[in-house]
Order: sequence, then C-alpha cells, then structure tokens
Amino acid sequence: MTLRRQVELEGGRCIGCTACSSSCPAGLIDLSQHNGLRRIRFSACDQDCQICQEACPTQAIRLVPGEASVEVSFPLLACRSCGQPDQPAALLEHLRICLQDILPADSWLDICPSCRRKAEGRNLAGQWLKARE
Amino acid sequence: MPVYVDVGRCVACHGCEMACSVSHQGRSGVFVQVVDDLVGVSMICRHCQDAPCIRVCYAGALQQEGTEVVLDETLCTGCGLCQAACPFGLISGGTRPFKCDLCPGLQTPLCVTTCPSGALSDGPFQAVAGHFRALAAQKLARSGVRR
Repeated sequence: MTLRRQVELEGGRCIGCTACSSSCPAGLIDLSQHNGLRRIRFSACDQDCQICQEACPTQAIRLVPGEASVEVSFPLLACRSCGQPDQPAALLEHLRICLQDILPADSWLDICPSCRRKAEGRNLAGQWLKARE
Repeated sequence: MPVYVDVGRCVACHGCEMACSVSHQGRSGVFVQVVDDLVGVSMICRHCQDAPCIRVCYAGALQQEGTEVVLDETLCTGCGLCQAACPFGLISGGTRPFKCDLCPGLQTPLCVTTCPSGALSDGPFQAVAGHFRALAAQKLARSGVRR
C-alpha cells in the first residue's frame, strides 16, 4: 500500500494559480471560486506521483507523510474596468516580476481578459472611424 | 505569420469564430467585438515578438517558432498564467488554454478562407498592408471622391 501523504505549502510561495488543481490526475486538489474568493483544497493523497509538486510554478508544494487536508484561499482583485473579481494579487505580482522588462507603467494586468478585448476592439475601431472622417 | 484584420471591412458575422471552433474541437481563438453597434472587429492572437505569454510560461508549453507563437498542450500545466498575461485577452479556455495556431496543415487559416467580406488576411505584414491599401484605393475610386 502506498504511503498516505499530505501537501505542505512553503510559506507564502503559493500564488493561487490553477496549475496543481488542473494537473492532479486523481482530482484530489479542488479549486473553487465564490464571491471574489479562490479556494484551493488539497485532500490527503494516496497516489504515487509528484505531478502537483512538479507543475507548481513557484515550487510552493511539498509532499510530506500525513493525513490532513490543507486549504488556502486568495481574495480575487477586482478588474479595474468592470469591477468583476479577476485574479489573486499574488498571481499578478508574480506576472509583474516575470514581465518587468516589458511592462509599461500603465499596465494591463489589473484588467480582466474580457475587458482587455473590449478595450483593444475600441482602440482598433477608433482608428478606423478616424480614418473615415 | 499572424492573421491581420481590416477593421473597416468586418461585418461582424462571427463566421471566423464559427470556422475556428468547428475546426478546433469547439474551441475558438477568434473573438469578434462589435463597437458601439457600428464597427466589427475580429481579434486573433497577434503572435507577438517577445510575447508576454511565452515569458510567463515556465513549463515551456509556449514557444516562439519563427514568426509564430506555438502552444504545445502536452507540456501545459493549466496554470492560467498565459491568459492573465496576454495584453489583448486573446488566449481562451481556462485550465485548458487555447489560442490561434494558424491552422497547421492548411495553407491558409480557416478564418481567412471563411471571411465573406475579405476582412482577414494572412501573410507577411508588408504584403497584407499593400493588399488592404489597394482595396481601400479601389473603394475610393468607385465612390468618385476627388481631392
């Protein structure tokens, strides 16, 4: 029988992305999103694999012997444009660090993808309308 | 080479979106926006040079190949970082990301072949820009505008 293990999160490293929850082959990592809060629940694991640990972009996950469930939650920052909950602050901070050389001061990160498309559509259409005048 | 859109020609029929999803298991990498109920804009991955999605992808699933940004789904962990990083919001699909792959195996992407108004074009930028300018000149000549 496989040893039962639980997840231990390295303090403050988890950015609240969806890598582990979408990689776990046994579906033991549950991601839910309600009322502007993202919850990730790691159930105790009886599988013989390290996939979640390997998938994690920040090496936040360690698998240690144990039986406990671990839960973390992240408040989602509201989109600057529409006000709908979008991404956890820690995830945006991670992106900001990855993109620091190319990110303009007025960055797009705090706008949700749907509003980015709207803004870009307006931008392109505006150019066309001006050309027609 | 990315697919370019001639905004003034798009009639917002959503044919490009439909063609894309029919040929990609129900997922579309094309987004049609209608601005002020007046102008249709079809938006597709621009295959950026120095693309933000490639920079944030730590799994190597997104790679630059020549002038294209290519997504290898077998390496993707489903973290969602590329979607949060795309400046134009043009990566869809949540934990199973999807973006324009320029229809590998086809000479011309299906959205371009489908577009009934000739608003979409693929090819090198100079060639496409020349083509769109020629169309605009023809239109101007037909309308009889004199300067």
